[in-house]
Amino acid sequence: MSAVASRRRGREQLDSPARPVAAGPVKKGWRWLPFDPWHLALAPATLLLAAPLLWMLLASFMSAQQLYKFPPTIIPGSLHLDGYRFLFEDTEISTWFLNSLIVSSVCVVANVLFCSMAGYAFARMRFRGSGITLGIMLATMVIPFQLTLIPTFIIFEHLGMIDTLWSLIVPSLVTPFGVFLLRQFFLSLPPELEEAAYMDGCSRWKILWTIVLPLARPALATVAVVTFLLTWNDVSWPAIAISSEAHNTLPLGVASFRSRSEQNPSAIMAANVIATLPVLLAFLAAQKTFVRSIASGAVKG
Amino acid sequence: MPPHRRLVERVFGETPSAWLYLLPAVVIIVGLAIVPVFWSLLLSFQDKDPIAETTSWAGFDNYRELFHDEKFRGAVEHTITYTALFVPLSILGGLGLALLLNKRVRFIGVYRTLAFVPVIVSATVQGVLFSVIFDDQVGVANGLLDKVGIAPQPFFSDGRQALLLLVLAGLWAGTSCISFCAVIFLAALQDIPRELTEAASIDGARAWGTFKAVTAPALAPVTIFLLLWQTVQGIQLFDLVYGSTAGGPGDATVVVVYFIYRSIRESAYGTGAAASYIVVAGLAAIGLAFWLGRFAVSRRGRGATA
Amino acid sequence: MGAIHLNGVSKVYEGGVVAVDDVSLEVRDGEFMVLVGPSGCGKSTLLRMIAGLERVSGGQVVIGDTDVTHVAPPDRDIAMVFQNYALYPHKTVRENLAFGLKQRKAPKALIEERVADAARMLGLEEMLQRKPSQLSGGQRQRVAIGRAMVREPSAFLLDEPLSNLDAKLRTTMRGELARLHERLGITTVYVTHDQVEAMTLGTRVAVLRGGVVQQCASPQELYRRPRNLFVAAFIGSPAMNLVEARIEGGCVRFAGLAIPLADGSPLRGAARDVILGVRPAAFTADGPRADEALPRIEVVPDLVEHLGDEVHVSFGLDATPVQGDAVLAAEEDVHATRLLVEDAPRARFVAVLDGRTAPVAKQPMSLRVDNEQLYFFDPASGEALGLAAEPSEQPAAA
Ligand SMILES: Nc1ncnc2c1ncn2[C@@H]1O[C@H](COP(=O)(O)OP(=O)(O)OP(=O)(O)O)[C@@H](O)[C@H]1O
Ligand SMILES: [Mg+2]
Repeated sequence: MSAVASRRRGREQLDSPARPVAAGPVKKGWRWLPFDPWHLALAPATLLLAAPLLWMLLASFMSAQQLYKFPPTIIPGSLHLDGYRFLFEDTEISTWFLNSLIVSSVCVVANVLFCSMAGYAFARMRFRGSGITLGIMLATMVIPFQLTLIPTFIIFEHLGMIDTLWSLIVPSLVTPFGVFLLRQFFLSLPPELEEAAYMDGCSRWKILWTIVLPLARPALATVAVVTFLLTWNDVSWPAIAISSEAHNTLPLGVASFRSRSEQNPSAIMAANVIATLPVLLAFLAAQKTFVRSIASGAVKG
Repeated sequence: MPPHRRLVERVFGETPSAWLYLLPAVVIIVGLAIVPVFWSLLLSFQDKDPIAETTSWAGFDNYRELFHDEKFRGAVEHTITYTALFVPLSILGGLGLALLLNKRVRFIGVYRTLAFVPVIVSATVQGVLFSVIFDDQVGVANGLLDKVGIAPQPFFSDGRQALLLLVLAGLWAGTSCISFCAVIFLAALQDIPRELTEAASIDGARAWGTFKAVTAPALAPVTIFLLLWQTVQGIQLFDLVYGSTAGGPGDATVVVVYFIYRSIRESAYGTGAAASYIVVAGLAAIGLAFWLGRFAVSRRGRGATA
Repeated sequence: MGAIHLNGVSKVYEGGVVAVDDVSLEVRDGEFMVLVGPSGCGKSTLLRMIAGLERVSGGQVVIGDTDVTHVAPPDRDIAMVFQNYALYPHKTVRENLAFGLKQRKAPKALIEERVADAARMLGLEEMLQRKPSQLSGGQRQRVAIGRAMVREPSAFLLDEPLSNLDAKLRTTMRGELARLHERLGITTVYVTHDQVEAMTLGTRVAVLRGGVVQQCASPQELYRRPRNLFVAAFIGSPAMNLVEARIEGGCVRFAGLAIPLADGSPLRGAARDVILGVRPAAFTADGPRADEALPRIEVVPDLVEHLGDEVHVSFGLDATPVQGDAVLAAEEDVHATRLLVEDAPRARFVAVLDGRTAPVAKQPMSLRVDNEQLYFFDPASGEALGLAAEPSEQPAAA
């Protein structure tokens, strides 16, 4: 249990809410400022990074004339919902949204389940071929995806799944990253917990569900977040696998919609907003988990 | 009599049940990662006639054709240009941003949120967004330039500028942008025990001295990881192009993966497979150079101390 | 029926580590058996083989009348308490206590009753709704014991259950464990590397070294009649003083001293090299209250430690210290009084004297040695010498 706790504490500072800390010794020449001089760099830099997004949000509520004006109207005088109206009335955006939602949520659930199972087997079970199987799985993490693109396409074509949501779901059911991350996490749990449960009469499967997984929530959250982020935003494979409008995911729909409607920028921006909103909300709600996930995905990778 | 362990279990231990646990993972990963890698190699030596639906052995023909294909050479060139600009800029930018975000000032949480948000934006959205902002006719960017008195730029309608804009878009948002690098760097920065930097500054080191003595060594492993990661991401560039230029104007922004995407669309599997193997060879060469470089550095380091 | 028989049990880990080597041991029904030994001697492995968590490489484990060598742990009717307690962090104390019975599909009423009983007995009633993280170390320990209790198994296995507690709490819990065992009367196998725990808790104590049982006997027997040098050096705190010596002419000679052997000693007539062992408590300060009949030695203490009731006096002697493997292995865990700066290889002795004496460091003093309490070991084999004359072991059958 202490392993879990310390792990949780690990990256906490990274995203804890601002702690007002007495600024260090302020450099000479900046003393006249009523605030820390670092704000002069931080504020513009971070605002600049977020600016395109903010503009996207504003632009989705603007009329065409307002959009092309410069300097851009920061607060549009009136809310123009034309973009959104057009989207919902004249495109299949709700279908795309639903498609994305189906694909992402199935993949998240499947990843949490299957990566847990595989990670647990690697962490705790002793079986023939465990070393080499794990090695191979790790190796697949560095295979560039274009290498598998064409055969994967052919396989799904043969399975009759090309241009269906299945072709988007199946390849992302398990990720080696998730397997590896969970294995590492399970290894950090004290084995005595499971031995105690074993002696209490639990089977392996039951131990996994009643003891291990409840303790692995932070790691499971990481897997869920990374899977969601990747499947929601992915476009390279969907662009190849999907050809009919009805099976588009949001990013695909947005891209195809843009190329068709150069003349309706506010609708394009509205589509962008809709494509970004779910991830954005998830990010704002669970920033801590997101940041930890992104960092863990890389630092340990 | 208490029940004895099942016979299967006594003979095979946990092997059968372990493989059941692994089954989904193994099926997906073997089926959609391992098998395709070899299949791809096979395909790259084949020629498929899309009409007659026949496949013939092509030997190195596909590779040979690619080497003489202007479009492919262009794609490789664009990919290299993109990567060469994107990798150093994203890492340096990320480092700078992380150092800023590591300051202990008021509102740092807000700053971090603002700075991290771009990571979650999909590259397609980013591509679409940038192509609207940098539209040569009606984009906000030209409006801005106009205000400062600079002549309007062609932006995405000019090949060279389009590629540079792609770099800019890639730096700004997506899963390998500046913010992403900053997240990674910041995590590493916060793993440095505070006592260490404090000890250094008590020892009289100035900011730069502390950075060199404490911060830089602590960031070295992460930097190496990012260097590799960003390079791989750069070479795999696809969604930005897909969302913004679709390869245009002309073929000025066709990158390698986009080239492969087009070959699949044209059912030219052999060409696509060969193209991907060429890219992988390139990646492998970079990896090797990297490894050798590190090897040399560590040898030199040891030589210096000896 | 909770007796445990180990018949020639061995464990060889992958890589060829022999953790337990042909151990035969009988734990009688209701007995409190302590396995003690230095770190890495195979105590945990042996315990885990009884539990079924490790497979045996050879031999047989019998619990009650059943050969359980190939029976899975949940079907062995035993409960185990782990060193780190292994409480389920996400479950409340009540759920932790009830978990084992629930898995066994016990009726609800029975679970309620057993949990309530255990909680009452262990003073956990107030904490049933808390999570383990909200408990103190001692309370967690109690929950761990309670979890084993509610199942009413035929045997308890405990692996260093007190080692995560601070010294004071450990003493308290030790007492509670002893009382609990008295009340429940359940066969218990208890692993520790702390010989004080072993001596105070055990009905019998098995001393392990390198996977082999050196001696299995009651604490008194272990202390009074160690079978070999290792047991002698391991049991007792401060440790037994050991020195190379020679028996000749009815005296044992070392460091220029000659101490006459006790009257009944079977070694009186011998002439041979031995290793002499003297318990620190065999010394008394010479003075009006001292026994005039005991041989006397003159020493210069170089370290005097007043502990209240007793005084530890350590002094060097011009004799070769014993540095055999057995002694070094035992010392690893014994907190022998040592000087930071040790000079030439001299034997170092510790005497435990009455707290009312006031020895002073660097001041010569004289000590009386109880020559009834001298131990002799063969320098080559480390086996105890001169034990044969007395009854060798308690009758085996209870
Ligand atoms: N899984 C394992 N694989 C290989 N060797 C092991 C394994 N577990 C224990 N050992 C070895 O077996 C020997 C006995 O280990 P064991 O854990 O039983 O010692 P112990 O007496 O309980 O020690 P401690 O007091 O430190 O807990 C040690 O040498 C140890 O290194
Ligand atoms: Mg142990």
